[in-house]
Formats: sequence, C-alpha cells, structure tokens
Amino acid sequence: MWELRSIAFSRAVLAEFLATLLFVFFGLGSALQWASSPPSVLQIAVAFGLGIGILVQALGHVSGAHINPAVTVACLVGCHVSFLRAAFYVAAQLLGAVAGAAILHEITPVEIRGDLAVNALHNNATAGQAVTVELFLTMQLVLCIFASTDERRGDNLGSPALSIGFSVTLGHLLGIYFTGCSMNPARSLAPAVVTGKFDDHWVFWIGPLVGAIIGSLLYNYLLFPSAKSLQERLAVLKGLEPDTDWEEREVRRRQSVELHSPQSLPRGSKA
Amino acid sequence: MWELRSASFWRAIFAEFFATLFYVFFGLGSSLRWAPGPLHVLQVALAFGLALATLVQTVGHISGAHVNPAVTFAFLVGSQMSLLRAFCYIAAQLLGAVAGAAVLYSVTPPAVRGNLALNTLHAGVSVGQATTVEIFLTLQFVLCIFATYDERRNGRMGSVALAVGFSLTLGHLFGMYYTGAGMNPARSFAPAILTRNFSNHWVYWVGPIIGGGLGSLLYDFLLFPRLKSVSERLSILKGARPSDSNGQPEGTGEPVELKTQAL
Repeated sequence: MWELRSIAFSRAVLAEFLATLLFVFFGLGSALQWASSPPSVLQIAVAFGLGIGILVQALGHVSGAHINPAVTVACLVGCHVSFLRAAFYVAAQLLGAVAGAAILHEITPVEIRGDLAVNALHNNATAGQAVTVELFLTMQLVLCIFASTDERRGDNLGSPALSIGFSVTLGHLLGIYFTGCSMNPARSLAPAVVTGKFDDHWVFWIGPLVGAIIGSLLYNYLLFPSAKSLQERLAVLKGLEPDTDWEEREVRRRQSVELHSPQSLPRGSKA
Repeated sequence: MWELRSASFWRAIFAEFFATLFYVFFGLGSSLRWAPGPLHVLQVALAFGLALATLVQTVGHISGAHVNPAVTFAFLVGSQMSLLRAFCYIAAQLLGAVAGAAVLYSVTPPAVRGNLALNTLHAGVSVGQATTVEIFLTLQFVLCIFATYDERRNGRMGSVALAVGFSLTLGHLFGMYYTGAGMNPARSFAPAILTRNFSNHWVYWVGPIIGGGLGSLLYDFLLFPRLKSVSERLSILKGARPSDSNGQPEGTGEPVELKTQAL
C-alpha cells in the first residue's frame, strides 16, 4: 500500500473531489430553469462540456481529472490505475458531486431549484432505450479520453482538454433529449440525493458503466492495443510500488493516466 | 495483397466502421425533431462538427478517421492510399452508417423519429443548385482535412481534430438551409436506406465526390503540390508493400497509414 503513503496520491484524490464538486455545481447550475431566461439545450451542453474541459486543463496533471466514476472504471479495465486508486477516486467523485449539488441547492432561490436538473427519462423513452443511449454517450467519451491522453501517440494531440470537453458537449447535444444526459453516475447521484428523486436511477449507473467498460476494451485491447504483459498489468492493478527496474514503466504508466502536457506538441515529437 | 494480412489494416477498417456508426448516431440523433418549432441550426451544426472532432481525436491515429466516402475518395485521388484500402474504407463507412442509423431508429421513440433527419432539398432549390452547394461544402472540408493532415507541415498546428470538426460545422451552418448539408454520402445514405426514400439521393453522392476530388486536386497538385513521380503514385495505388530496408516491424506503422494519420 505504498500509494497511501504518497502525498501525490492524496493530492490526486482531493483533486478528484474538488473537480467533481465544481463540475456538478456549474453543470447543474447551468441547467436550472430560470423564469426570466430558460437555458437552451445548446447552452447546457456547452456549459457541461466547458466545465469538463476547463477542469481537465486545470487538474489533469494532478489526478488525471477523471471527474466521473465511469471513466475511473474504464481506466481500471484498461489497467491504468490500481484498484485502491480507483476506489478512492470513485468515493471522492461521489462525495464531491453531492457536495456540489448541496451547495447549489442552498444558494439557489426556492422557486428556481425545481428538481435540480435531476436525470430522468424524457420524450417517452423506455428504460431500455435510455440505457442504450447512455451506453453510447459514455463510450464515445471514454474512447476520446483514452485517445487524447495516450502517451504512445507521436502525432499532434492538439488540446486534449478541449477535445474531451467537446466530447462531453457532443454527448449532451443528443443525450439531453433522452435522459437529460448523464454520462456520469456521480452527476446523476448528486441531484437524486439532494432531492430524493431516484426514479429510474439505475439507468444512469448501468448505461455509463457498461459504455465505459466497452469503450475501454475497444481502445485498449482492440483498436490501439498496448504491449504490456499480464504481469505488468497485474502489478498496476495491485498498486505495487515500482522498483528501480520499472522506473521507465512507472513514468509511462503515470503519463497514460494523467495528462503529461495539455499543450500542443511540435509535430513528430514524442511526449 | 500484403495489406490484407496486416493487423493494422483490419484495425483501421474496423475503426472506420465504428467511427461512422458513431458519427451517424450522434449527428442524426441531434437533428431529430425533439421539440416543436424550427430546428436549431447552430446546435445541429455543432453536434455534427463535435462528433467528427471527437472521432478524429479517437481514431485518427488508427485509420485516419475519414468517416466519409468523399474524403476517402479525395485521398485516393491524391494517391495517398491504395485502391484496396479505399474500397474497404468506403464499404466499412456505408455499413457503419446504416448500423448507426438502425441503432438510432431503435432507441428513438416513434413520435420523434420522423424521417430520421433524411437529407432533402429545401423547397425552391433546384438539383443543379443543390449539387453546386454540396460541391462547395465538401471542397472546403477536404481542403481543411488535407491541410491539417499534411505531414509536411512542421509548425505547431493546434488541434487537428477541432480544425476538421469546425470545418464540418461551417458546412452545416450554411448547407443545412439548402440541402440539409450532406457533405458525406454515408450520412445521406443511412437514413435513405431506413426510410426507403431516395428522392434526389444522387445529389448527395455526386456533389460530395466532385467536391472531394476537386479539393484533393487543388491542394495536392496546385496549392501545395507533392513531388511524386507517376510510378510512385501507381505503387501506392496498387498497395505495393513499402520497402522495409530498415526492417521496421509489422504493425508499427506503414507509410501509407502515416500519410493519412499524420495528425
């Protein structure tokens, strides 16, 4: 359990808590129905996307800026993080989300709160249809995250933060019509806890988690497989302390989880 | 036919299928009539653009992320990929598009499906005018793709994915009023198959393909020409195996892919 003694680990967990708190605060806040000027679907989608994009930019180098239990599970399936780290990240994300929603609830006028933008089925979509849509929404996000943060790529990544943020915007442009767009169990849990509305809540866990796992399997084992041995993967999952032999691997592994450099890279150069 | 035995070739084909499936699913899905009243053009244009940006980011390094038969045709005209690869890409794109539309059809409530965002000419727009519009839409799009994918450029180019995505958004912001903005035969083909409505469908093949071909000729032969001999071009088109004098291992990147994957 060397990770527990690491300051960087504690900072990473705190970063996940803070990032998810801010994400939920701004995201749900942008979706509230103000009587004077109700937000459009496009506005809400851009707000959620920019929220993620900016937080990835701000905290990506600290914790990887997952901000989403589904993304953390995807990284676990891809053998990029240890079980311990994944568990702490998810706990921090769920707590951060609820904290963000609670703060938003308290500072918003009573008549504006409504259901605090809780996720629910819309337009007569069935639960099966909603799960399928959530699956696709989250799959594309996870694929984009892995592609944007893959340290093995020598080509121009552009701005990973922007790409990931816009991927979230894309999901919302479609998902809002079906479910209010979750893509993120923490985002769905937060308003549900604060308002007590858990109708069809399971949809927003099953859909994103299955989508994330499929996305992770697709990218890490099919589309752009890495050459890690089984032993190496198990070592990552157990969170074994890297010895001197694994110095280089440790660096590569950390980079694959956390953004090494969100700025554009000169063409052809390796990160 | 060495390409058929290459794992990276099949991964690229699968990536094109998968990417086009997602593109059609998200693009058409965001174009459906979810609420009464006129369609929000900016919102739909951004959805298509961001869908492509995300997919370029996601599979650009695997297959080049064409996601569009017109783009694949453009690369073929520019002698940047083999005939075999181009054919397989286009087949994968068409299948992926139909699959994406089918999934969207099955998850969408019947009241909202409508014509599944089928491309149609706006009232009063003639087929000649529509074809011309489609040519221009795809021409600017292909020019942007060729410029951003060009591995000969050495400066910091910002985000390739976003440049390509926003180029598509631009096309939709203008083209949606005239033709619904095809710019992509696979995108137009998918809802046509599912709704069995092929009125003026040829416009969405002829326009983009001509536009793509023109864009390729303009960039590769006029604006920023590549100095390749005819024999070099022919060997690429035939899919000749690149000389591995440096003993480069299989699957770590062939020159053909590098040319289309120089993101």
